[in-house]
Amino acid sequence: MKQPKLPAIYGLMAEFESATELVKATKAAYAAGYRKMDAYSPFPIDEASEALGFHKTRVPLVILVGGLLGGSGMYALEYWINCISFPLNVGGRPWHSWPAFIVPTFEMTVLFGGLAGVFGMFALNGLPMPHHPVFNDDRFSRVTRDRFFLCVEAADPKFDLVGTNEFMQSLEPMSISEVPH
Amino acid sequence: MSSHTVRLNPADFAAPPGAPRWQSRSLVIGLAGVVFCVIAAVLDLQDFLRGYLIGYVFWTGLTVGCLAGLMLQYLTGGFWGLSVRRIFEAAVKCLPLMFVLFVPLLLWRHDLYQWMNDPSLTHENYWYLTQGKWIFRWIVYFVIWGLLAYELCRRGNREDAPIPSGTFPRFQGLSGIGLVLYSLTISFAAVDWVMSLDPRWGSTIYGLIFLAGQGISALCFSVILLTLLTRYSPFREVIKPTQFHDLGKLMLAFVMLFAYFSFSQWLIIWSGNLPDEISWYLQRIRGVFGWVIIAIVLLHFALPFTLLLSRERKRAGRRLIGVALLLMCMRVIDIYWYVIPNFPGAKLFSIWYFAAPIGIGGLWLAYFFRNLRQRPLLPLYDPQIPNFLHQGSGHGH
Repeated sequence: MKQPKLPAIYGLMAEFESATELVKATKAAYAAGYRKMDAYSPFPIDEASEALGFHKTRVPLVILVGGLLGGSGMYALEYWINCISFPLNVGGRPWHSWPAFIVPTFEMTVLFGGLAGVFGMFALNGLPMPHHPVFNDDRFSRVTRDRFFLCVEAADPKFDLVGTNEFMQSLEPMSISEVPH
Repeated sequence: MSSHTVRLNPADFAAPPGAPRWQSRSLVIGLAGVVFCVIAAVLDLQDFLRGYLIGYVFWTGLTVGCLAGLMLQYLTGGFWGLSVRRIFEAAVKCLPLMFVLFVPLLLWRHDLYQWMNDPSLTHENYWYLTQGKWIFRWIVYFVIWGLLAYELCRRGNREDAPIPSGTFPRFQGLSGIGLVLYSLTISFAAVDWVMSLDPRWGSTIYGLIFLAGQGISALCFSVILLTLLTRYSPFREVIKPTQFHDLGKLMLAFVMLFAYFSFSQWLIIWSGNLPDEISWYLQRIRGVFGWVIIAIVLLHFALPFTLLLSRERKRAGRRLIGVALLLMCMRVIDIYWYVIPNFPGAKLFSIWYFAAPIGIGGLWLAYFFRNLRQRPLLPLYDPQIPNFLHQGSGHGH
């Protein structure tokens, strides 16, 4: 199998001492045009998510499509069973008795929407992923204790080893490291 | 840290300068509506009374819906509750007005409720549907709502002044009991005031449909008011998109709940297909009223549901207010669809239907704005207020 051409490194990672600095740096990086980046911190920081544009994901779209497929699929199945495959006279009602079809349609909308949400989120996150490249940097282990990291990925169109490094210097981090694959 | 620091000064949180104007305009609409009502009553008493019942059920529903909202936010906590608490309280204080406005229904009850003229219509309900008990229950509902409202507002008012530690008023127990009482009383009230228009027909989920509708009314009203208030400083600075987001999520939940209850009632009666029950629906899905229910399905459920799915819409008051206004209009139309087809030969449209909903609404709003102006718009000495005012820099919800 031919390996796709990968950039030489995964990205550049800057280390910060506080959540405030991380949020400031993330905002600056977003303003500078970087999009493929992620912030890592010992606890959730709402402002960092906002600064990353974290909430603008495609998960809602995946859920919508999943829900619509589940609902319309179920309705079609019920229509096929009751009107085409095995029509039964129930209390003299028409074969296509839509009120009775609604409950399973609703249930399948919820079920497929939910499943699409979970698995769509996995897929969009690139899961399952046994090992993430950011762990290649030894300093990164402190992210679960007292350090805050911003990693700009090499896959970002605006990424340039020298230019991005200079930009990161301007954020005044504690350290900058290249993250290998 | 937040760039604006908001001082804890009750005077800053007084009702905005627009409030006296809103109050006087509402009063003008209300008085014009009363004149309209008198004309309507003289020219066509029957149509006026039917409109009056719609208006009365809607505005009473909004009042007690706000009572339920007030208890709900005390019970669950959360910053959305702090931002709308005074709005709910001012609405709840309109209960005396709704008590008095019941009098026309009392005077002309024989024109609306056929079973009062002909007790044989009540069949096996005869022990429940008697005039004496009907009037007695009306008083009981208002006594229960009134006591709950009085006690909640009394305790709430204490938060306008510094409270010695250890003596904070407690709300949760009262609110929990109150919500149970509310759901019971509103079920009985819906049966007495609307369902008994057709004394032979019954539905056990009926009260819950009105309960969900009142939740929608109260939430939409609080969104409209909050949007209005955030046009002014300092409310503009302290109310964050998160508060609108929470209210929008609750609106979405109640829209779904309303659709769920309404559909359940239809599904069960449709499945049973019994002459006594399905005839109620046949009056309402055939002919002109059929178009009304299609409009209700589309505009009371499908459209608001779709719009409220959007996260961005829920987070901005000026985008949410359109959905809120639509839903409040649809509440009136839904009540209309419940009330009007009960009367044989009732008109789809009559100009006199509008008199009472407008008249009662104007008076209600004038009274509401008067109540709103009495207190600061935030309970400034609530223990949660410091976190609420600094939510931009924390991670509170």
